[in-house]
Amino acid sequence: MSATDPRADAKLQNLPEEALQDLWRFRHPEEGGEKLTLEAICVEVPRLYGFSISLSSLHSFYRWLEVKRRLDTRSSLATQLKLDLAKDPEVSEAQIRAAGQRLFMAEGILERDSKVFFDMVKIGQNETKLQQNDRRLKQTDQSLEHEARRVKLLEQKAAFADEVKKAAENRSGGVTAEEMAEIERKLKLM
Amino acid sequence: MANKSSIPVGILRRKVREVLNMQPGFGKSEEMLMEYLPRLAGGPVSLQEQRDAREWNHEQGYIRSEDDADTDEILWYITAAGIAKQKL
Repeated sequence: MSATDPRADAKLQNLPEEALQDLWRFRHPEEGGEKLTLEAICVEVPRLYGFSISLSSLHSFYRWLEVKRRLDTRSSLATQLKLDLAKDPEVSEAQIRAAGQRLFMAEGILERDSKVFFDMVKIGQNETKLQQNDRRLKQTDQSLEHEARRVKLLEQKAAFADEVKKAAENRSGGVTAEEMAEIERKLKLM
Repeated sequence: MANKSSIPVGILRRKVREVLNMQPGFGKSEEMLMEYLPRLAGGPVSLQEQRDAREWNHEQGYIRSEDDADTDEILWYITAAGIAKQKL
C-alpha cells in the first residue's frame, strides 16, 4: 500500500449509506436473522466491495459504525425539531439552529424523544408570545377608548343637527346669517 | 505518575477527527468527545490525552472551535482539511 492509499477501515467508512446498513445488519440481524462473525464478514467484504480488510480493522470499523449510528440518531431528531420549528414564522433561523444544536447535545430522555424538547422550546416561545399578546391587548384597549370618544362626538354632532333642524322647522323665515355662522362654528368645535 | 494510555497518540488524533467528521454540521462539546473517543479508540482516554490530541488537530487546521453563547460551551467542528485528511 502506498502512503496515499486510503486505509481499509477508511474505505469501509466511505462506503455508501446502504452498504453501511448492510454491514450493520451482519452484526445486528433483524428478528430471525443470523449474526455473522467478524471472520465471516472479513471473507464477505472483498466479495461485496472489492477490497480486503484485516480482522482488527473490521473490529475498529464496527466501533466507528456504532458511534456513527448514535450520532445519526441524534442528528435526525435535531433535524426533525428544526423542521417543526421552521413551520413557526415567529421562530428565527438563529433560534432554530440553536435549538437543533442543543437537542443534538442533549442526553437521556431527550435523545429518545425529541417531542419533549420541542415542547420545552415551545413553552419558551409561548412565554414570548404571551408577552406580545399582553402588549397587543393594551394597544387594543387604547384603540377602543379612542373609538368610544369618536362615537360620543358623532352622537353630539347628530343631536346638535337635530336641534337645529327642529328650531328651523318651528319658525318662519329659516335661519339667519348670524345663526348659520354660529351653527358652523359649533360644528367645527366638535 | 498518571497511568499512560495504551492507545498511540497518532490513533487518538485520528479518532478525534473521526468523531467530529460524523454529522459534521453539528458541533461537539468536550463532553461528547470524552463520551465517544474511548468507544472509537477501544480503551480509556484521559481528559489530558483527549485535549492533547484535539489541540494537535486544532494547530494543524484539521478542526476548529466555536463559542456557543446558548450553552456557554466551546463546540468543535471538523474543517475541510480535516475531512480530506480522514479520507486518507
